Amino acid sequence: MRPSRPFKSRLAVLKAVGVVCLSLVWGLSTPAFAAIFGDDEARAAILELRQRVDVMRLDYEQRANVQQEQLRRLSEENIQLRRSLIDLQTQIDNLRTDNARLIGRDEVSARALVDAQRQYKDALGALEERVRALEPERVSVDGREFLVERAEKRDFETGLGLFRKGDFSGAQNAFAEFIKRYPLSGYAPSAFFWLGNSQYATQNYKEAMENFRLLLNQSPDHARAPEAVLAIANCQVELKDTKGARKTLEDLIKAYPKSDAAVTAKQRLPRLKDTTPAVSSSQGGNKK
Amino acid sequence: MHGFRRLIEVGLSIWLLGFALLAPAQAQFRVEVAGVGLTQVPFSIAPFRGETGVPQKISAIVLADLERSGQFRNVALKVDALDESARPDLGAWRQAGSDALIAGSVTRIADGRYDVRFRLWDVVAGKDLGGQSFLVTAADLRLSAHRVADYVYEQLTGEKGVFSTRIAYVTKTDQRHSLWVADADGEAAQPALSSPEPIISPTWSPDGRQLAYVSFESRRPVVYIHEVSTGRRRLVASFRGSNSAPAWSPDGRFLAVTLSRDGGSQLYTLDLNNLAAEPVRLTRSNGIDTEPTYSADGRFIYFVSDRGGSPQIYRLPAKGGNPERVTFTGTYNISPALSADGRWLAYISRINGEFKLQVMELASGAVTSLTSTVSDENPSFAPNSRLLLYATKQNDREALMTTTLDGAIKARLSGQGGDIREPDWGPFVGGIGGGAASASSAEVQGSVQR
Repeated sequence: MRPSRPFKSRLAVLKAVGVVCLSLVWGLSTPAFAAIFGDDEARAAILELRQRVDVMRLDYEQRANVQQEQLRRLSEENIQLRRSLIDLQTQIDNLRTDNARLIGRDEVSARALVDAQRQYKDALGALEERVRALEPERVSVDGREFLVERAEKRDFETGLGLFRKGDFSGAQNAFAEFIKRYPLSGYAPSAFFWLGNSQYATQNYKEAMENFRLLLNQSPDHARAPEAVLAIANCQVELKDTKGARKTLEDLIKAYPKSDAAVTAKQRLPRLKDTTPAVSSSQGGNKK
Repeated sequence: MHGFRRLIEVGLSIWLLGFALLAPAQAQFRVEVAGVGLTQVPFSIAPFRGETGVPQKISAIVLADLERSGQFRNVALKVDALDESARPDLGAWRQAGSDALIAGSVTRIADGRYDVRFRLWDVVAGKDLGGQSFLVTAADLRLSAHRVADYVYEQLTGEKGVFSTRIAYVTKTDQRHSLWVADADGEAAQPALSSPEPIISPTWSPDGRQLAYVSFESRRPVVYIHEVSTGRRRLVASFRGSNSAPAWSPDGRFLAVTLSRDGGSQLYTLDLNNLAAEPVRLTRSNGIDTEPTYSADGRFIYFVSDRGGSPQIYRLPAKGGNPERVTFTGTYNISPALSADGRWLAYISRINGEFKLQVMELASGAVTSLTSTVSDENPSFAPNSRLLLYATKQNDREALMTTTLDGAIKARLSGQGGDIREPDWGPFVGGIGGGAASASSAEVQGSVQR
């Protein structure tokens, strides 16, 4: 430890005291000075000086101890501070690593979520596709909307397909079967209509009339009803029932005055004067 | 982590210096095709009439080009005299199992140049598929052969051939580091730069006239742009810290770089028309962001970052924005390369301590491993997106390889045992002549310039 400034000055004091002491000793042996200091006086001075030196030394030592203690404490604190700083740095490093790992995990999770969502969507799509095959479907036919089973729709369209292809006996079978299997179907009136038309085409006029009538009984306000009445008239003409046909046409004009069929009926009525069958071109129901 | 830092950081220099292999001043390459593709067009090529007295054997170069593409299989047939004006009996070739026939000639004309002509026949359809002729100097004979191969490739596959494009790579011989510009088959290499300090990350400008690279000639990594035909260069990034990993934007206006001027390694863009402007900082992460590369449409920059705890490939909008992670398989994916058609991302993955070239179909995210080697590096796509060029070690020797994207056909562009690395495949280039084929060299003497 380096001596501090007060310590230096204290040393100077001690030196001075020593010089004084020496000169005193020297003075004692010199008679010339004997008269200046008495022995007792000198001794007392020495004792006093000694005492003061002791006090000073004690004081100094005490202070030095205190200082040393302070210094020790400071350096201890310093070491502790440094240690905690290193610890803090380690913690920061760890946090940074943890943070990076968490970011990485977050990225992976986000990606997994996206993948899962996509898979879920795909699976849901596939499921919906499969379920849709089993679920009733909303269809719109001849201005009416209703729910049908998949098979029901398929069977109806099979009949219609046959009719369009000109396979009228096949269509008859298909529509007859359809009506038997789905008597309450929303398609039923249309099925009667097409069944009647198929029968007309194969010259089964009586059966055809029956089915057109079934349609009219079941739903007189059906979009196909006017055409069905016209078709009945056609059947009657074919069966040479001119009277019946005229009656039917008049009924048609009365019942469905605004229909296209009524217009046709008006044109045809004047030509039904005699018993010759009407031209068979007016097979009203053939257009969809 | 260490490996990653070492690979992508300035440490690269130290890593490169670790190689003390000898490379010949000008590496001679040989094509070695390994593996068999399923749908290869069988073809035959007759020796070009007159080519024996010419510095380059045109037919051999065309043959090697076509084979290396992986899409053609040679049916060697002995023929005596056949050139572009012949009327070959295609029936005989059909019987031999060949689908296409190439024949031509090389004639030295009065002014010392060569007249290279050829014709291609579709043997199966019995049809003449046309031909071309080139008037070239001796220096451009190889290029004319590559043009022949390009023509044949395009006629038979419907896609552009890449045989007349160029590649760049770096070799180290004793204490000399050299940057080379070579034909796409690795041959006819010409030095563009030679330096006692490492040269890394060369990358072609979109117009194929310039190379950007990192040079340590001033004892620290700085980025230069080097005009290949004249050897003129400009220092474009020399900021405090390291300047590395240059990447051109497809319009050639910007250079994305990795700088550590603000602390960690982060991505920046430099406006090449205004180098006095401050670099624009693109990323702000606690990790290392580096190895930028633009998508072909210029919309995205793909790069490597360890922000998520391990190096992975991310992408962000080219003008800056939120990065989005792209690779999710494994814990170490670096060196992204994108195909010009936008379909593929190639990169290097560390799998069980081995560095393997991977290719990801971006639309589906499906990843395929392409190689059986274990030290693959630095992939880059051919400009037609059909082949990948990369560096690897094969039988303990450094090698440049090409592979088809299904990994079925590999060709080795190999020197006679040398330290060859950092390859980059250049873009499609213009017509023959005009000195486009040659590179001018800049020599760096001593260690400190500027």
